[in-house]
Amino acid sequence: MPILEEFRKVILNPSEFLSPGKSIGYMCNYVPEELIHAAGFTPVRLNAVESEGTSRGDMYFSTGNCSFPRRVLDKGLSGAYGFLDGIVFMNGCDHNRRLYDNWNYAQIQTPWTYLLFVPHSKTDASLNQYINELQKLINHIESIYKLKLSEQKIRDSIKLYQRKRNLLRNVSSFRGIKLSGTDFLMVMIATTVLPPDIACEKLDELIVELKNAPQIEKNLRVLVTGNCVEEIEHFEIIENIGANIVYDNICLGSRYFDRDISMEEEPVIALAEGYLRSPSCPRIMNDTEKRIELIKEAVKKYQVDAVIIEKLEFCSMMTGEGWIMSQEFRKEETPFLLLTRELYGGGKSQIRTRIQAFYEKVKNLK
Amino acid sequence: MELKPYEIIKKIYYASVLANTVFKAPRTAWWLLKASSAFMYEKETLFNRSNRFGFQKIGSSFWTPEELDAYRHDSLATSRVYGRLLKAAENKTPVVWLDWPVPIEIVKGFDVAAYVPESFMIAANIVGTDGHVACLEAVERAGIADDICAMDRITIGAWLTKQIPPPAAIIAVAHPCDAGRTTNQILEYMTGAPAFTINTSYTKNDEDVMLYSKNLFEAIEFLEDILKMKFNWQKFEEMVHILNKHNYYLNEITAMNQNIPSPGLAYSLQAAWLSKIPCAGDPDIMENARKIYEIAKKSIQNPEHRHRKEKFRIIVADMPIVFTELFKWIENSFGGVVVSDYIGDAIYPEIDTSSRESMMMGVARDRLYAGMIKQAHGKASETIDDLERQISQFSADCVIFNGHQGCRHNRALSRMVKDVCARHKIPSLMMEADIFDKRVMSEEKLKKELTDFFRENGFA
Ligand code: SF4
Ligand code: SF4
Repeated sequence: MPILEEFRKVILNPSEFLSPGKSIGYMCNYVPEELIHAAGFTPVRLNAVESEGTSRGDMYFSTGNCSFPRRVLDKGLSGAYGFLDGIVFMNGCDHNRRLYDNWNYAQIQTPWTYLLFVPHSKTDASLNQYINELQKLINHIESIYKLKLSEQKIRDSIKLYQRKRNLLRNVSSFRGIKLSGTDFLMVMIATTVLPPDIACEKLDELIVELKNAPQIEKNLRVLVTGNCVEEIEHFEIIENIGANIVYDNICLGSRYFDRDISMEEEPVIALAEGYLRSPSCPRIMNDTEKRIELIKEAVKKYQVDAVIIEKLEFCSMMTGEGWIMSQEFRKEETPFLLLTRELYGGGKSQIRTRIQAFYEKVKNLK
Repeated sequence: MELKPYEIIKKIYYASVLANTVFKAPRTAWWLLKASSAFMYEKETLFNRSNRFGFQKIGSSFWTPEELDAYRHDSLATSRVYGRLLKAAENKTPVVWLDWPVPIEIVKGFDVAAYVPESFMIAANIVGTDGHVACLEAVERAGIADDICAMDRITIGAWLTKQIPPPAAIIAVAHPCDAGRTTNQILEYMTGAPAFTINTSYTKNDEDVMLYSKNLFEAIEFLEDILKMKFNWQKFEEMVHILNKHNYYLNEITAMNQNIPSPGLAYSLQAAWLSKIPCAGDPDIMENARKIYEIAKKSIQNPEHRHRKEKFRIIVADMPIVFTELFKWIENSFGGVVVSDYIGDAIYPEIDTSSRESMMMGVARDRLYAGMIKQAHGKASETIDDLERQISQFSADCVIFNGHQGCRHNRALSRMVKDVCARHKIPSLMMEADIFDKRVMSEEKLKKELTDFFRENGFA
């Protein structure tokens, strides 16, 4: 599909698609892009795509830290994010919290950086804290750019982003039928970098192309779950040896688009509620049961044959979540594979062998 | 090592009852300890392995009779916690588990046994260092990866090896780290108990602390609902008054440790941190702090003895607690006095007791100033500025920084820590021992690294 080539180009050179001086970077799904967009900027999700390694990042992080922030820092130190006007970091996990600190300490030339603190639970008190934190972020943006983020501007952005999420849901529903999981991941990466109106246009085009596209070859139906999984090459390995990724539960997937923001409420409250109380990731406590329930439902709904649990080395949160999932999948007799690895790390052939062996086992069970 | 159900908490209960009895005659106790030190001190052997940690915990025979007399009160408070826990297990009355950074006062205001699972890492060694290894191995057998903090894995192991009674409810907290958060979710899943998470504050600003304290009110409502009991506000107020006095003494001891020569009581402050976690609000831990405060005062008035001991001054950022007697070992072997460390350093603000709201804000803030949370809970500046303050206030000659295996936020700071020390023109040693897994770095290896560092930098 020609449109997919366009998405690929975005990933390879995002700044080409952005107006100079008009982009603000952000980290993680709990930073409401709507607030950045309402200020007249394109929110650009930080990622490790096309990073060259970790050697520069390792001058600040230790090798006992997750490869994701180490790579993002490395990219920052290489100048790859020189086009950003500012960055909103977040306390997604301890490693990412320290990405903010090390980014500043390394004196990467970003005009400003901000650390948004997002609570770790969904209680009323936490919601109030989150509203307060979002208000602080708004104040920060307003004071830097000497502007006012009016209710109307935020509402308009909410509407636009809601449209984008709906389109992504629609595109996602083609997975396993006409679209590979690998291509969907590419679409996700590209659309979290592009200006949202352009992203919507391209998603519209993609939907038209998908409708006319031929069916893809049927294979084992796999669901991938994890946190910062963004490696197109890795998804290729999973699919090329005999599977279709038909659904996911990752940050750059359903956790991003599976969220609705109310248009009825006062916009900052609506954003706080929508973001904090939508399907969570393992950083949110007292919500494990619901998260697992959601995956179990997806397994049924998408007739999933097997689940791949992705854990990046040193991700404590996935240590706990992955273990709990394993217990539950065992009970349900859902075949699963827990894969621990480094992002863009070596050992590709070993990974391929493990996945292949796993598929054999699953096929024998069928 | 196979653990029998409740073996460890029974042993810690009896050991603390025994310590309280023996330390009533502190001089005799002191002689007893001195007499056994040849056999207990040097290294772990087959014959001393089950009691050596307990021996270290009571000062490895280096404490004075006055220090032993003070520590008696800690033992008394400890025996109360574990005694109540055992009774609850026997009578099947409710036990509320709470994460260590949660102000225990919000649970102690109910007529239930309050238990802090993380305090188990210290308890585990009462049957010898194999106690914690038994817990860690149970976690490994369950298939949980070892990349979360050993302190947390021991907590999980304690549950798996049936060392602690089941919780009626769990009060967790979102700080200070991923390890704690993920462990709470595992425990919630394993025990099936209703759980509530307190979302703490990421800064020490009034506005944020106020929002944090609202979480504490919500937690009390949650417990009232689950336990079908009313919270005792009067008891809460009494505990806050005790906390204020307790903190006063801890702050004063910390300030006195800045003296040259220092009274060398960083170890006592570390021990006070450990006992405050499960025993806050108990008058006996306050009495322990008061007596240590008197010892510190006396030491400052008669500095000659300490002058002879103190050759150089050390800040230890995040010591592996598993080797509890390291401070004294460094002092006796090299004349290096640990003047402050990551967890013992007390700078607690006074709590305004004029209303429930101000008290709740006060206990919230108190725990934000507790070692480890004080540094780990927000931006790197919380750690780095704190270290910078300690280096200046305590006139440090060197820094020993340990990046625990599971402590990801600290391990991401090693460059900054090195640079701070370089700015202050003092040497720093970056170690990678674990907080509580002796298998990561053995006692011998740790002591060798320290010895090499002191020699290379002309301290020994
Ligand atoms: S994979 Fe886990 S540890 Fe790594 S950045 Fe994501 S949440 Fe943090
Ligand atoms: S030592 Fe580090 S990882 Fe362990 S509980 Fe403390 S802050 Fe968390």
